[in-house]
Amino acid sequence: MLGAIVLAAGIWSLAGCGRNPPAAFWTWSADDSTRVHAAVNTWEAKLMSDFADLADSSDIINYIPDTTKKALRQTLRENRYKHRWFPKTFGRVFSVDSMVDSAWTTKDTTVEVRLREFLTGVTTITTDSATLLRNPDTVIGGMHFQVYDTFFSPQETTVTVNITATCDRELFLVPMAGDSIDKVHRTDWVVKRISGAGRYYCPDQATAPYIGIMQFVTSTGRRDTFMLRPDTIHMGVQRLYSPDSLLTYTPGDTIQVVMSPTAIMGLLWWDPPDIVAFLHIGHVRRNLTILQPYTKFAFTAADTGMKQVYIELVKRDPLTQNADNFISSMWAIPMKVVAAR
Amino acid sequence: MRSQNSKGEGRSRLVLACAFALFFSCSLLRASEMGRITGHVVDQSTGQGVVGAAVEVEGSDLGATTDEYGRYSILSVPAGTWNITVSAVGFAGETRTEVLVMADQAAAVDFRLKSTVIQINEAVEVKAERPMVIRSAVQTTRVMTSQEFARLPVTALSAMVGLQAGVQTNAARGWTHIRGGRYNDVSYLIDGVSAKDMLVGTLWSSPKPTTENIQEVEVITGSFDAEYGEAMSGVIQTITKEGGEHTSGKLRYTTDEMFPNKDLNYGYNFVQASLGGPLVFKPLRYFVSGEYLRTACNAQSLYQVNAPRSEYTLEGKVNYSLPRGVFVKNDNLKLIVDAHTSDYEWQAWSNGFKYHQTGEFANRVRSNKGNFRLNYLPGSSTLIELATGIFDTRLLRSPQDYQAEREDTLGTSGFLRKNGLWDKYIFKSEQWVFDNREDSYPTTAHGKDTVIHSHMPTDVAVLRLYESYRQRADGSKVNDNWLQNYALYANPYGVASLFITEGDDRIFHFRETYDRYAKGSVTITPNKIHELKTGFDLTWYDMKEYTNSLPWDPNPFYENYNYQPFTASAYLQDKADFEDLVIRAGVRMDLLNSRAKYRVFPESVGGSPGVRDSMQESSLKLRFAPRLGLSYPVTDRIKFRFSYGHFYRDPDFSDLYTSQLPAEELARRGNLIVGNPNLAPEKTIGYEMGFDAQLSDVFEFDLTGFYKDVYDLSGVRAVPALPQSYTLYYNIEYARIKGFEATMAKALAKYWSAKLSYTFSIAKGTASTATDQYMTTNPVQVDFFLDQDERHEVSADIGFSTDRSFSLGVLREFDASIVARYGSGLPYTPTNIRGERTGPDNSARMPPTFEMDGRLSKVIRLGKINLNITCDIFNLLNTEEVTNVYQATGKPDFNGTIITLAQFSSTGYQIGDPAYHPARDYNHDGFVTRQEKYDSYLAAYSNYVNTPLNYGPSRKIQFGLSIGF
Repeated sequence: MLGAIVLAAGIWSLAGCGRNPPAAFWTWSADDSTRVHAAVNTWEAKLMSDFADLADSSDIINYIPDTTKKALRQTLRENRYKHRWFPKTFGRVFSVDSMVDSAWTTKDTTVEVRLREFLTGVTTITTDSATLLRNPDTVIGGMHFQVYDTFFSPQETTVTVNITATCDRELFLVPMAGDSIDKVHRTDWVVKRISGAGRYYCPDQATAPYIGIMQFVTSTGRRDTFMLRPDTIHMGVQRLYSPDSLLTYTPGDTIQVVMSPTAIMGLLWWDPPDIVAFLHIGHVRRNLTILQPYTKFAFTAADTGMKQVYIELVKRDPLTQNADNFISSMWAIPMKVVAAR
Repeated sequence: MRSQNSKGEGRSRLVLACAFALFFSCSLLRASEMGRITGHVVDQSTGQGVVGAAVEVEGSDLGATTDEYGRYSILSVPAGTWNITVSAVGFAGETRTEVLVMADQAAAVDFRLKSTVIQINEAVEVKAERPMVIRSAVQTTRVMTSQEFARLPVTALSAMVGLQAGVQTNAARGWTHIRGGRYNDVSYLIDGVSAKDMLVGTLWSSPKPTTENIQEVEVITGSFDAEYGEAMSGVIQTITKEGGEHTSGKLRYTTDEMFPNKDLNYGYNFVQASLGGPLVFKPLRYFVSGEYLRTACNAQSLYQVNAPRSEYTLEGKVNYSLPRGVFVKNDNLKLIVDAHTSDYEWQAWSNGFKYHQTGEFANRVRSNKGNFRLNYLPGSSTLIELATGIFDTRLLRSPQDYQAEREDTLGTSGFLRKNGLWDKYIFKSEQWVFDNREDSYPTTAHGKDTVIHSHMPTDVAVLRLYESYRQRADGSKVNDNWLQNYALYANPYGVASLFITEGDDRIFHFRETYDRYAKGSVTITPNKIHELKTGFDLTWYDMKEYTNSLPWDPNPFYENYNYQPFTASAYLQDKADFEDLVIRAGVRMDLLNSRAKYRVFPESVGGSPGVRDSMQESSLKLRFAPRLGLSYPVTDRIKFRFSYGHFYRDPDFSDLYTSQLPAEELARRGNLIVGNPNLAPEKTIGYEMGFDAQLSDVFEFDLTGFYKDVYDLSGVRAVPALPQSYTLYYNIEYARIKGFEATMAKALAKYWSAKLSYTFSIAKGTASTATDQYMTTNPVQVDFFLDQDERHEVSADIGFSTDRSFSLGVLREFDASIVARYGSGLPYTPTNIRGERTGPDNSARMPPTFEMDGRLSKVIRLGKINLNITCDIFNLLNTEEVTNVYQATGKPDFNGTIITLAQFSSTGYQIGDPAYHPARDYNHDGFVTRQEKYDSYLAAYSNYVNTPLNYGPSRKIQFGLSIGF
């Protein structure tokens, strides 16, 4: 017996081992899932949509540039088959839910996660008057209205429009043990990079207005350009950046927002005539003029730390006539506000 | 959940029921395949024949009395090893032990008795010398016994067969070729009954006997007697064991799971068990055996891949020798009943599916057999053999339904699954096709939306597979993933268009070969010279195939047929032994009735307006095959031999029946290969000439030259029909094979044995397989080297073996053996990277292959219990054996495609683009640059091309422990 074992061991030692399969690419495990979710959760609160309308749902605004008001009124008058109005206030109430929508594991033992927010709610619009599209067979004051007839309601009217939106951000994570990357034990996952902006589409990307480019121009003349698609010079908002490398601003510095592609690039680009724009910062919504003169804002001393600035384009139609859904696009741009030394 | 074909299940039960009914109701007897023992008994002092000496086969009722010349002949001796005892008045008795009797061969056992005036009760015991030259064999016959199985590092029948000269096993395809013939030219017999899946002609899907049940394997690589049919290049015959005089049993477990890593741990677990002996009373004997195999990797690949396989096989045999004189004085009647059931399940693996293995197809083969045999010797010169039985083998191929398997937690299969003993595969749409009943899937209140069709016949259900994944009324889906497959981005490289990442293999395939047979033979030995044998064989087949290769399509490509061909054969042969010349002559008649209609004018498919279809019943195919063999023994140790014969084989039945579509359907489909029910049997005319010499008591040498012309091979050609051409099977291909094989062997003596075999062959022809010329615009008009043409093949084994008397205790009853195989390389057709041929067919060669295996074995005796410890090492030198190459390069890991940066556009991919994937974004900045696109595609493509399936397996080590008594 002993002899057989010794002989077998001898042959085995001579023979050695077989051939190992190629090192398996890292695969997602339940433990990784838990740890990655934990890491994402710590960032979720910092990144989730948080802008002015949450605080005041019926803020009275004058959001439409004077230059377009006349044209807008004319348009409304000529369209007798629409339920239409001229709004005077506008606010939104919605709830935000988020989830890790997708996680791409890679062969180099890293993970890229898409954090997707779901925004649902209503937009409340008040008007001084409205032209209502009546239903067939409506009887008002003994009068039978025919199809397509409208009637004018001179009193204040409240209109609601649904909001269904999603906002995507990508986060890049690596496994860390202390301060060094550990792809073997993967005790913890750490968010190392985040998208240049969360991209908000209501109701969806195909319908929402297109934001291609904009600039923040500081009072010192520094121009920070944000692009949807990057080129060889400029970085895109969909690119991934280390939180440490975010754009840095100083409280009190006046920042001018330039939304006109023509103005930024010197190119003939699409200037959306049926779009209104807003800037949200510090729970305050500001009207943003796409064309000259540009909107300016400044961070306050209370804003230090990582902040998100929201730039929103809203399609005008749902604000002035009957529509099922609010239509808008928004970039939620993370940045650092650091007190001047 | 019910499985597969309820009809098939019914048949299985019928097989088993019949087998066990016979088991319990019949008086049963012994053995199946027979040989005979002949010889002289002479007086040692005078050399004169001893008249009236009694020669008996111990442990049986068989025996004979010597004639006036001292000659005797014992018919119907079951193949195996026997002790022969002779006794005569006035002479000391003698027992010759371990006499090897081979099926269809005569073992010569001569005795020289010592005269004595004192009666000696105990016979002298002499161990028989195993004859290395079989005097009566006129053809090339290689015999392997169970002892060789135990000694050599082979665990499968095919591996053992592959060691013989003239036999080539194609590891990549699992095919066995004999002397350059097609893989389906081989007849595969178990106890004289075909066990081949005749629908497709392959052996890999045919049931195998358990290793413990193998008594002897005969490989006839050349001409064979008239009693063998359905073969053109060789016969592999397995003789199974039967119960012995005493109860014996063995339990063996082999595993590699003690190794920690995947380089050696293949999850291999193999359990073998056998038990045999007398049952109730001595003449009634039984032998049962079983095997159970589970391995994590069944594929022949360079390293371990995820291709699990599970097998179980159960076999039982009961034999009974009735007392002599049942019908007439001294007659001998034997009854044998045996049954086999097996289930093989394995998951396919391919490089393209490796990142989405749940979509890859799997296979299941279930087989059942039952045989009843009767051997009757009314006298010493006549043997009557009758046999009948049924054989059923079913293959199902489809992606697995993993969801259904997860839910299968109840009953026996659920119990076995939960305990990791047996993962019963449940296939996608299996239930839909075979158990399509209203209660199969619960319907909902919105019944009109349900996909359930009450009692849909199988042939209809297989055509409507696309409905089986449609959404049900309650919103759920029957088969969520039963879709065509896509190569998208979900792979470690993030590169699309290479690896399959979604969906399933586009196949649902079921086939069944079911046959009932009746055969009989009469062997008459009118005198000491002639042995006449005549016999018949009738087989009734039931062939089915249900295939759907576009499961998602309402108008799929499909096979959907059920035919009942019939074959019959009869033969007459004579083995005439004139002492200095042995002649084996015979003639065989084979009949094929395909029982189907064919198109007399294939171009007139009737799909065109005004064209009449020309369907007509196929004719009976009757063929006569003469066989002649001569053996000229120069001495008792040297002989010359010659044989000539005509050999026929029915084409694979799938070549007859595939795509027998209505004319209008045929006319609107392209690219179809259509079966031809009027195909005739394929024909081989073969010659061989050999020389066998036993150079000493232990050395043997043989040399055989062979030449074969193969006619009427099945092949395909395009038919220019209107409005749509198609492809049809014809008897149109030809092959010519010639070569020689030589073997030098040393029998076990002085603790070592060895064998060296060499085969030189040239196999040329017009098609390697029936479908070689498919879609060929100009079919090849000249012979080319066939796929199986390997110029030089060498196999060798050497063994060291000790017995109980060996002086060094540690090495007592110890075996060490090594087998090695060399092949000079198989051919392939060279092309450029666009697939255009750059040379004639098969004009380039793959690299040579070399593999060496070893086994160590040690027996330890504990009273009546024997422990046997083995260590098998496969691919001892861990060589990288190339089994397949890319035609453009001749290399296994590179197909010649050069990928350059210039092929990639400068436009990058960023987050949000469908083509963006973090795995391609090497610096993780959210943007895939042109360079990253190139680098990632190059890495993915290299991985895609470099498949481990283009190589043979690397080293494997398995340890085994058996307990026997």
